[in-house]
Amino acid sequence: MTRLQGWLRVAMIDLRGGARRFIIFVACLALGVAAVGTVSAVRSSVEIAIDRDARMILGGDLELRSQRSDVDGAVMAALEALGRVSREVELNSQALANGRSAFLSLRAIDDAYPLVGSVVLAPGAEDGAIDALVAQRDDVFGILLSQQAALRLGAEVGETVRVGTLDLQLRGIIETLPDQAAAGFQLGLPALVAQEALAPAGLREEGVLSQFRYKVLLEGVDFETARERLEQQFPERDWRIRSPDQATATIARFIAIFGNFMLLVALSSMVVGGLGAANAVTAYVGDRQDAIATMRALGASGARILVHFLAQIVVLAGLASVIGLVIVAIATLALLPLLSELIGIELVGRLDGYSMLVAGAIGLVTALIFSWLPLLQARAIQPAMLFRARSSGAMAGLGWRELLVPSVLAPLAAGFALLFGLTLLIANDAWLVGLYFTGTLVAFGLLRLASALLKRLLARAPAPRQRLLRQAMSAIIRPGAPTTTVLVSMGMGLSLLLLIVTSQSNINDQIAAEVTAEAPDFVLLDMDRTELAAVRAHVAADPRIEDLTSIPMLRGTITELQGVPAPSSDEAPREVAGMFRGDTALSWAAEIPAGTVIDEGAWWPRDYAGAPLVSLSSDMRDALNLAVGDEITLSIAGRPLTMTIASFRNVDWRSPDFNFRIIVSPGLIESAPQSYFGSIKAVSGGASAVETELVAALPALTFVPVGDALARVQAIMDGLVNAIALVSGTAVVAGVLVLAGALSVGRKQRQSDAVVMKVLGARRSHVIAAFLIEYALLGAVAAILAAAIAVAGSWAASTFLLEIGFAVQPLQLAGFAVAIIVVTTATGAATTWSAMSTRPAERLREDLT
Amino acid sequence: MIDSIASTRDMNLHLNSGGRPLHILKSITFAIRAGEVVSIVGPSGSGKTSLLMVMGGLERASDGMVSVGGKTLSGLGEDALADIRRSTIGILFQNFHLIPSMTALENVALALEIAFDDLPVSEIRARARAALAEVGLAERETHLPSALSGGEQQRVGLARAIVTRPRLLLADEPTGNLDQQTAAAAIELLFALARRNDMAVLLITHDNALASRADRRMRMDRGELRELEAVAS
Repeated sequence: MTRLQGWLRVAMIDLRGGARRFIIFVACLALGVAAVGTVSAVRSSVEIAIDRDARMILGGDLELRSQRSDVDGAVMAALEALGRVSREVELNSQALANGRSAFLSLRAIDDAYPLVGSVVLAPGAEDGAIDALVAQRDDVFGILLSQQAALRLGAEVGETVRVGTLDLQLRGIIETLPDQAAAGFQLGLPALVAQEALAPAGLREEGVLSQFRYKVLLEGVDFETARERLEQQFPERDWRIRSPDQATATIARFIAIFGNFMLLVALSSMVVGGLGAANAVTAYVGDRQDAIATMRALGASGARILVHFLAQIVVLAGLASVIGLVIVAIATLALLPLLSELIGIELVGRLDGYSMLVAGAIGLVTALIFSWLPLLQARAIQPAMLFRARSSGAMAGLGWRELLVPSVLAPLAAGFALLFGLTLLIANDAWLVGLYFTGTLVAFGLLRLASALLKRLLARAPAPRQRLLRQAMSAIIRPGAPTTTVLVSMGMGLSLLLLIVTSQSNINDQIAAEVTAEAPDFVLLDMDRTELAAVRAHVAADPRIEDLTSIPMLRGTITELQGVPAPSSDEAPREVAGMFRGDTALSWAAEIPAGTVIDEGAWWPRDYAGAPLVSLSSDMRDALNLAVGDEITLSIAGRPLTMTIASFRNVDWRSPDFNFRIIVSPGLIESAPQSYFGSIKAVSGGASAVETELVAALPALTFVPVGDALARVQAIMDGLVNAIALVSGTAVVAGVLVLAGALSVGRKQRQSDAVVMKVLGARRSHVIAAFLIEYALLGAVAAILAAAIAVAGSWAASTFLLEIGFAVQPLQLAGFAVAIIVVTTATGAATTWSAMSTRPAERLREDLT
Repeated sequence: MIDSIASTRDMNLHLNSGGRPLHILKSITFAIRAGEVVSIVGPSGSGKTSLLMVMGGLERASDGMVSVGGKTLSGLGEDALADIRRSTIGILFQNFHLIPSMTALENVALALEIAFDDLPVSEIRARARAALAEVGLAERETHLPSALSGGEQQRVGLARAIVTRPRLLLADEPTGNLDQQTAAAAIELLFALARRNDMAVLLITHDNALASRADRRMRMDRGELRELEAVAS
């Protein structure tokens, strides 16, 4: 038997009696492993599915997308030379059925759709291929609606749905579209119709929100060659060509960013769990001081003590990891189908061994990092204590001088480096992970410092007159009191929780700010002068409509800046590159639009009739280095128009008001071809009726119900927030476990205190009150420290990570502080109830035996 | 002092208590021979236990010489002191200090596990059983300390202290927590085992009757150690 085997054997024998003391340790770590593993495994499954299905998500090997206008026959011929082509027109329209209306994202398909994958219809759909289902049969075209759209219209298969001016027959309910994920966020609810149905429905293919998509199954040519061929053949075209990888890039980026954020939340649960583990080990070592000292007296070396307890920690951390991984397996298999439905990508229920392995390793390394200091405390226990007073269970912590030595710091540094590396394996964003680690370490250092300052302050403060307060204060500052442990672990746990909560409310505020009461109910798109006049007439006759605003929109190409030819979209700064890709939208106005703030220069007089002036957004000035007085030339309807910059505006794009980067002074421009945008605000509760009336009266009018679109954004955000809440929930549970663990550190000491107080004649109520005041004081200090750290962390997260507004929520923080004090006091009371209720005789008898 | 198993010369121990320097042991010169039983009596706080701790390498003398098993303790590191305890010293405590999660047999075996790295498990168990049998507890080997009486716990402690066959046994008030009858039996056993194993015993006690049964009696008073009288063995 080797020396190490012998050491390990004794460690395992010794663990037998102490294993139940590690319930909190195991629970904390298992929770952390479960959170990290599940997030990583789910994310990895999504990424694998995106990678695997990229071709299906795009709907081919190449997609050519043109906005607003279709490509010409020459392009079509070039595409057909590359392989099999499917053409699709996507536009928005209202649908009407059973007296209800729904705003649809209408995809008008040809008979080649889908080139890759298949459309899955709900049971009850008519039989036949997709193109046959939407084709004209007995003079009636078919339509396939998404479940939401069918529900909204209350329509069933076989019933009539009116789109524009045409009645279509509902022939099936769509469960999944193979290429839905690549479509991104759509204003309306998905629906499929035949392209031939658009004209009879009175819907113009070309429009502001129209998209023409050509998907190609390449034959004998790869994507890059095909793209180069198209670009060479048709230079300077206003279209976008995407490969399957490019199509999935947006969703992949979103998954990566959100996945990283979730991983950090999960990692917080792990860190909080680690603190719980540290407290559990401290409590364990504290309770085992006698045994350690006895082993030392029998001749055990410090190394042996270290190995003895390290082996126990490794075994228990291994057990915790296994439990955590079982939870990962169950949670992953349960979550994948739900997520699959949410993002429209088929996710195969599989266990991701890599994520699980890394999560297990993170659990193990976290356990070792957080157990290191208590283990060193165990090693430092001297056998001489066996000859002195009975141990209290509380241990003196290691001082700074003992901590700042290479043999202590090097393993810790190695542990952190390993943890950092392991986290990078699944988070893949060194900057973010580095920021998180730094923040956590700084918070840890601040809490230790604050705890030391508090103790020093209390020690020097004059003793309060109130006896119970005096006793509670002296309990906090006496040597061996677990004040630092409690404050650091509670402070860390609580600040992480509070950070998540405050960040979440900032995100919610952000959404709420965008859904203001000022927002219109409907946005009217792409109206010509006749339609605008018809809308005005309708509005005047409908008392439920409170307000109608409209603004003209033109399109033009920026050709020169200060007499110099404008840059191409590739050369232009990224922020404004889109404006140089083909034409760009602009407007004209006599008066300054509502909610506009002039940043520089001045708005023209209301009756201005001089040379053309223009007001640009401030971001254009910053990106293109422009100044008031400079000239900009646009080609509008083929005619060049050179204008002098009169002002720059700060444009808040989140505002519900219409706005444009380029607004021209009235005059010449008024005669150029233009369309109109408008907004309608209905009286309270009248939106639904206004919508139905509007669809019936003006079937060809394209308008977006803003409330619906925002509700769908809100639903997506709710899904994300729920996911965050679910993962952060594990941190909450870990936090409560940590609290219980931290307070149990001094249980034995409190038992002794209680006995002494009772022996000296204190009443039970007095003993309990003294403890409760001590816990409440600790809770209050922890709450203040946690709130300060969380506010700082939340500010950093909002400003640098989420790039949203930040606001302190005083009421929320105060509520939290009170809750923390109550929970601390209650948990403290529950944890040490037996100590408070200890009958002196029991303990004294124990002392004598 | 040629055949002494442990000795001190001009040994002093200074400690700080609440910022106040205390001179705990004053110029102690003392030796104990192999197989000899030496008792030390004295009032509480006189320095008896401190002497025991210095002899066991659990406390470092401030100056002077301390030697155990032929090795000088001053200047040795923690692990080297632990080596000496493993190879030479057995300790018997007033409060027994058995490990509550281990059975009587495991508590005794622990000393062997720590003392010998290469002893087979079967041998460890056999020796631990034999030691328990020596103290009359062969039948109680599977019991946890909580299931044993005070006297039995002390006998397990004694078995653990002697199982490694130490040449020096340090006993700190070993009967302090036992009734008179149990104490007498325990001491009888301790002395018998010491003689049988040619083991030196340094016995700290308050009990004069007990002390008088040692080969040599000494008294500690305010940190000073003096010989009382030799007792014929």
